[in-house]
Amino acid sequence: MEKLKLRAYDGIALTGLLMLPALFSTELSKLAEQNNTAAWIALLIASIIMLCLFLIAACLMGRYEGKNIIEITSIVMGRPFGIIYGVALGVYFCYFTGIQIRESAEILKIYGLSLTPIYIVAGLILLTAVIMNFLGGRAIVKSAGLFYIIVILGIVFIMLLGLNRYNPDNLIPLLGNGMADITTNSLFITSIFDSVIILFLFAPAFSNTVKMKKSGVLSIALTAAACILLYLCFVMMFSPSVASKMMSGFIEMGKSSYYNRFFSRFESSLLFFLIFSSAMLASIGLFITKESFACTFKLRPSKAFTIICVVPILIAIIIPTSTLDLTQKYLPVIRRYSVAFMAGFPVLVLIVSTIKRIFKYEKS
Amino acid sequence: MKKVSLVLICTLCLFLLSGCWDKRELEDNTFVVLLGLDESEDKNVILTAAFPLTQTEGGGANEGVDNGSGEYTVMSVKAPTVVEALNMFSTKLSGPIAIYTVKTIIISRALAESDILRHVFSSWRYEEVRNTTNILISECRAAEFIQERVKASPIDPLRQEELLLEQANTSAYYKPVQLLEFLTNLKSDGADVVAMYGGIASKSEDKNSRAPEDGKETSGIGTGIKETVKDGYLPGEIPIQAENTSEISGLAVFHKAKMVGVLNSSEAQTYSMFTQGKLKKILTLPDPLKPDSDIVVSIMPASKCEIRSAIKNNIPVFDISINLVCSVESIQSEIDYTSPEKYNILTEYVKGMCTEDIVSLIRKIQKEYNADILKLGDKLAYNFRTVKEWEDYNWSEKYKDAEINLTVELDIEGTGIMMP
Amino acid sequence: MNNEFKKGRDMEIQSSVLKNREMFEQTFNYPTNKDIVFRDFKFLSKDGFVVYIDGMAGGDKISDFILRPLLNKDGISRDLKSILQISSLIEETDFDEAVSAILQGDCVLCMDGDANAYVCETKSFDKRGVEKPQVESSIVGALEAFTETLRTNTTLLHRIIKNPGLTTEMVAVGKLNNLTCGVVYVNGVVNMEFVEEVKRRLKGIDTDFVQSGGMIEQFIEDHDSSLFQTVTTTERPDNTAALLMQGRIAIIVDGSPRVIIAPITLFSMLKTSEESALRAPFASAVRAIRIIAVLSAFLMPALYLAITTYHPEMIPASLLLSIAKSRVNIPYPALVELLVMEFAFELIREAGRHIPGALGSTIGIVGGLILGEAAVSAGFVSQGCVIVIAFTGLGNFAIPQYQLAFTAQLIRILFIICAGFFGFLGIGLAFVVLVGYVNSLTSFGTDYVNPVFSGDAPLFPKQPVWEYENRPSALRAKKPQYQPIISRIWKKGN
Repeated sequence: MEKLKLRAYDGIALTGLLMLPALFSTELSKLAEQNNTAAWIALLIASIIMLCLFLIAACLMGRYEGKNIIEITSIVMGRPFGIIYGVALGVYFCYFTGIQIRESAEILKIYGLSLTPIYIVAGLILLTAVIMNFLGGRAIVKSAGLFYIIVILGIVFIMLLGLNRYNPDNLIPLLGNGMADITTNSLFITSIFDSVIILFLFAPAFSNTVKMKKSGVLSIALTAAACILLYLCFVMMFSPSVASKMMSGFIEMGKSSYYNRFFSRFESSLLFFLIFSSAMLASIGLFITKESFACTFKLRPSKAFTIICVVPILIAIIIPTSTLDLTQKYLPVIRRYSVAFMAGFPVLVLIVSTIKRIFKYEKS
Repeated sequence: MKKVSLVLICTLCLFLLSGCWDKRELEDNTFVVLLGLDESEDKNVILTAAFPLTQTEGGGANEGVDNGSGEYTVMSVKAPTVVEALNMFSTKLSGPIAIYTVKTIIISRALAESDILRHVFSSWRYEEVRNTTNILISECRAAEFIQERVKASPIDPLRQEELLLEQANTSAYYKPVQLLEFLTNLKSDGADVVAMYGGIASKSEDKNSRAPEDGKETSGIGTGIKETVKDGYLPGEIPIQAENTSEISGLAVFHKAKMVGVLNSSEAQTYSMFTQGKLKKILTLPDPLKPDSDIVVSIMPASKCEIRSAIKNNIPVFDISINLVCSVESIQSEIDYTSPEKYNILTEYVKGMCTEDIVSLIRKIQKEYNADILKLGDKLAYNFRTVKEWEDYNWSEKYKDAEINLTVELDIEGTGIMMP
Repeated sequence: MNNEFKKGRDMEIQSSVLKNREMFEQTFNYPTNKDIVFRDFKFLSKDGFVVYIDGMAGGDKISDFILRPLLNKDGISRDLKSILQISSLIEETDFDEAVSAILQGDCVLCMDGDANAYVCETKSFDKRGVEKPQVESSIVGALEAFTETLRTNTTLLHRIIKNPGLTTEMVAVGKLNNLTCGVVYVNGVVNMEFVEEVKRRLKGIDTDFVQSGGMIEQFIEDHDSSLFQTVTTTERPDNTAALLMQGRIAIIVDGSPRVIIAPITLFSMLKTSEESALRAPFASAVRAIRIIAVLSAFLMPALYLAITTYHPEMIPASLLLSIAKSRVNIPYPALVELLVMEFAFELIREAGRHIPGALGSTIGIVGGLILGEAAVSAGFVSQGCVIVIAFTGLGNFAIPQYQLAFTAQLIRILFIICAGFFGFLGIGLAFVVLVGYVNSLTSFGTDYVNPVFSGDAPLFPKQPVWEYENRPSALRAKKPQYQPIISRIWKKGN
C-alpha cells in the first residue's frame, strides 16, 4: 500500500468527492420521483443514520489503531475473510467508479457534446483517472482538496443563482408521500452517504483514530447539508413532478436562472463542475480499487497494476446498454442498496470482534 | 525521452483519427430569432423560423462589424412534429440550424386552443431549447406575426426581442412568461398558466390616398387610427398607428393545457397586482367631484398580496388581502385632493374602482374560464399533510365553487412633482 | 579541487624550492603557457618565488604588499607572517589546494627550506560593477542586481542580512573547470537537512564542464524534463535575502548573475519582492491582477476556441452575430487560425528578443501592427482571434518568472489542442491533469504546491506585514516563528 499522510481535511475532501457527484447527475430527479416533496426529510434522517453507523463502526477501528479495515478483518475473522472482503471492496469500487463515469458521461453528452460517442467521453475521463494515478496518491489527495472547494462553491453558486425563481409553495404538502414512506426510503437513501466508510481503508494514514472520526463526521455533515439545501432549491424552482423528469437537476437549475438579458447564458460553464467532480471521482475510485487489491494481496502498486485495475472499470462502463438501463437497473445498486455491504460489513466485524472478546474474557 | 515522444505522437494521432464530432464553426450556423407554431390538418404542425442573414456579399471583415439590421429571412415548413420540422430546414439552409438563440416561441391561438401539449411539451426533451425562452400566443397565424415582427427592426432583432420583453417591466400590459414556468404549470393539477397575447393590427387602408389639402402633403400618421378608445385592449384593437403592425397586449389564459380565453390589457394590469412586483397600472377615472374632467392615478401593489386559505365544509375559502399604493399623476379639474377632507373622498373612490376591477377579474377567471391563474391551489395545499391527501381532494373540481373574500387597502402616497 | 584534476597524485609542497618550482611549471605548462608568471627573489639569503596568473592576481598588490616588504633590506624578522603586509595569508601544505588558489586569482609564495606554501589574497581582475536589474525591475524597491563575481554577490547579501549566521560554503562543480558555487544560508534559521541535501547534490555532479547556473539548475532539480521548474533563480539581492530569511538556500554561481534558490514553491514564484514594500490592499490588487494574468495566459485561447466551436450558446446573441460575420470569410477552422496566430506572436517575440536595443521593440510593435491589421484585412484571421491572442500575450508577460512564462506557453498549446478536439470536456480534464501534475512535483523533498488549508500565507489576499507570523511550514525551519502575534509593540497601550 502506498504510504500516505492524511489530515482531517484530506479525508473530508476524498469522501466528499465520492458522494457529491451524485448531486450533479440523476440523483436529484430520482429523489424527487421517489419522495416527492419530502426527500429533504428523508435525506436528513438518512444522514443521521449514516452518522450513527459510522461512529459505531469506528469503534472497531479504535480497537486496532494503525491498521486498516482489511487487515482488521483478517485479524478478527481470519485471513480468508480478509481476502474476500478486500476483493469485494475492490470489485465494488470498480463497479462504483465505472457506473458513475458512465452516468457523468451520459449527462455530459446530453448537455454538452451530443454527437461524441459515449465511449470516447467515458474513455477520456478514465484516461484522466489513470494519469492521475500514475502521478501518485499524494497528487490525488492534494488535488481532491482543491476540487472539493471548487465543487462546494459550484453548489453554493447555483443555489444563489436561482434566488429569484424559488417558489416555496412547491414544497407543500410537506410530508410528501407520508411519514412511513419517508422512513423506509431514508434507510435506502443512506447509501448515498456510505462512501465515507473508505476512510477505514486509509485509517493508518491518519495520525490517530480521533482525526479519522472527525473527518468522517464532518464529511457526512457537509455532504448532507449540500444535498438537503440543493434539493430544497431544486424543488422550489421546479415542482416535484417536473423535477423528476430531468436528467441533471443541477444544469437545469442553471438553465432556468434569468436576471437580465446580459447574464443568462452560462449553463455550459456548469459543465466544468461536472467534469471536475467526475474526473476526481474516477481518480479516487481507481485509487481505492488499486489500494484495496494491493492491501489484500500485499503487493506494491505499480503502473502495470493500475492498468490491470482499469479493466474491470471498463467492463462496468460498458455494461449498461442505455440510459434507462443505467438509471433503473445499475445505479440503484450504488445509490440505494450499497449501505448493506459498505456499512454493514464493518459493523458485522465489530460484532464478531466483540463476541470474541466476551468469549476470551469468559475463557480467561 | 524517445519513449515519451513516441507516446505523445501516438496520442496525437488518436486525436486525429477520432475527429471532433461536436465541433461546429460559428459562422456555419444559422441562428433562429423567432420560432412560430401553427396548426395544420392531420395533426401536423407548421413551423416558421426567422433568422438573420450572416453571409454578406464580399464585405467580410474590411467593412467592420455589421449587425445585420433588417436583413432577415422567414421560412415555414410543415411536418408531423417540431423536431422533424427543424431537421427539414437543412434542405434549404447552408448551415446547421441553431435554436438556442430563440427569444420567443409564438404559438397561434388555434393551436393553443386545440393541441398545444402534443407539440410544445414533447419538444422540450430536445436539449437546445432554452428554459428561458418566452411564449407568446398570437391571435393571427404565427407565420404572419413573425413576418410583421421582423419587418421594421432598426436594431438587431435579437436585441430587439430582449428589449421588448423588458418593456413589460414598465407597463404590465402583458407578462413575459418563460417556457419553464409555462410548461411546468401547463401539466400541473394545482395551478394554471398565462402567456403573452399578441396579434396584428389591421393595416390602415389607403394611407396615401387622402388628397393633400392646401397643397400640403400629410404624412398620414395619426390620421389613420380607426380603433376606438376603451378601457382594455386586445391586440388589433389598440388605437396606435405605426409601420410595424405587430402588437402585444393582454394575456392568454390556459386551463388543463388548453387555451380558454384572454384577458385584455387592463385586466392584465389588474392581474399584475397579484403576481408582479412594482408595476404600475395607470387608471384614468372621472373626477369624483367633477365628473366631466379626469383624474389620472397610478396604482402599484405596496407588498405581495396575502392569500390565506382554509377548508370549511369541504369548500375551499380564500381570504385575499391586497395592499395598494396610489400616486396621483394628474388632476384635470385642479381640485386640491390632498386636503384632509377631500383626501378620504379620493381614497375611497379609487379604492372602490380598484376593488371593482379586481372583483370582475376574479369572477371572470373563476366562473367563466375556470382557470386558477392566481395560483390559489398552491396556497390551499398548505392545509394538507401528504401528497395523496391533496390529490384525493381534487382541487380542479372544487375551484369553481371556492369562496373568495377580498380585502383591498389603498393609500394615496404621492402627488407627482407639483406641490399640493 | 576535484579528483579528476589530481590525476591520481596526492602531492604535497616540498621543502626544496626547486622541486616546488618544477611541480608548478609542469602543472601549468610553463613556459608554453604565457598566462602564468614566476617571480624569483632572495630573502635573508634563501631562494623563493611567487607564482600567479597574470590578469587574475593584482600585480600592484603583489609588488606593494608582498615583494616590497620581502626585498626591504631593513627587515630583521624571519617570520613571513610578520613581514608580508597582505590582508589574508594561509599556510598550505597540499599542492592541489595551492594550484586551486592560483586559479582563483591568489598568488602562492614558496621559500626554500619551508614545506609550506603561502597563499596570499591578491584577487584583482576586471569585473562588472553593480548595476540595475535587467529583468526584475521594480518601482519602489532597491535597484541593485547581482553580478558575475561571487564575492560581490555575497557582499550584497551581507549588506542586507547583517547576521553572523549568514554562512557561505564553497563547493566546486565541474571536474575540469572547477566552477565555484557558494551555498548561502542563515545558520539558526534554516533546517540543516536541506543544506546537506543541496551540498550532496552539488558534489554529486559528475561532469567535465559546467558553464552556468542554468546547467547547475538542471543537474540538481528533483524532476528532470518537468514542465515546471522546481528551483528558481533571481537577480535581486533583496529578493534573495527575503527568501533566505524564510529558511531557503541560495546557490551563488561564480560567473552567473542569477542566484539559484532552493527549495521553492510554485506560488512563491508568483510573488515579487516589491510587494513587501507595498501596503497590503495595493499588493493584494497587484496579486489579483497577476493571478488573472496567469490564468488567462494559459486558459483564454482555449476557452475562446471551446466556446465558439462547441458551446456558442454561451455568447450573447448580438456578439454571436458579429463574431459570425467576422469569421465568414476565414478559410480555415478556428483551431488552425488560433494556432497560426499563436505561432506568429511567438515569432515576433523571438525576433524582437535577438535584435539589440531600441530596434528590438520597434520590430515588435511594427510586426504586431502589420501582422494583426493586415491579416485581419486580408481575411486570414478574425478580429476576435487577434484580440484573444494579444490579451493572452499580455498575460504571459505579466508572469514574473522567465521560465514560468515558457511553461505557460507550452501548457497553452496543450489546452488549445484539447479544447479544439473536445471543447469544455477537454479543457476540464486537462485542467484536472495539470493540477494533479503540479501537486505531484516536489522541490528538494518538500511539496511544490502547498496543500489547501496548510496555514501558510495565502497568495491572495496578501497579508499585511505585521500578520506574517510563521515561516512556511514546508521548510521545517529551526526557528519557525517570524514574529510574535503582536509585532507592533508601539501600538500596545494606545
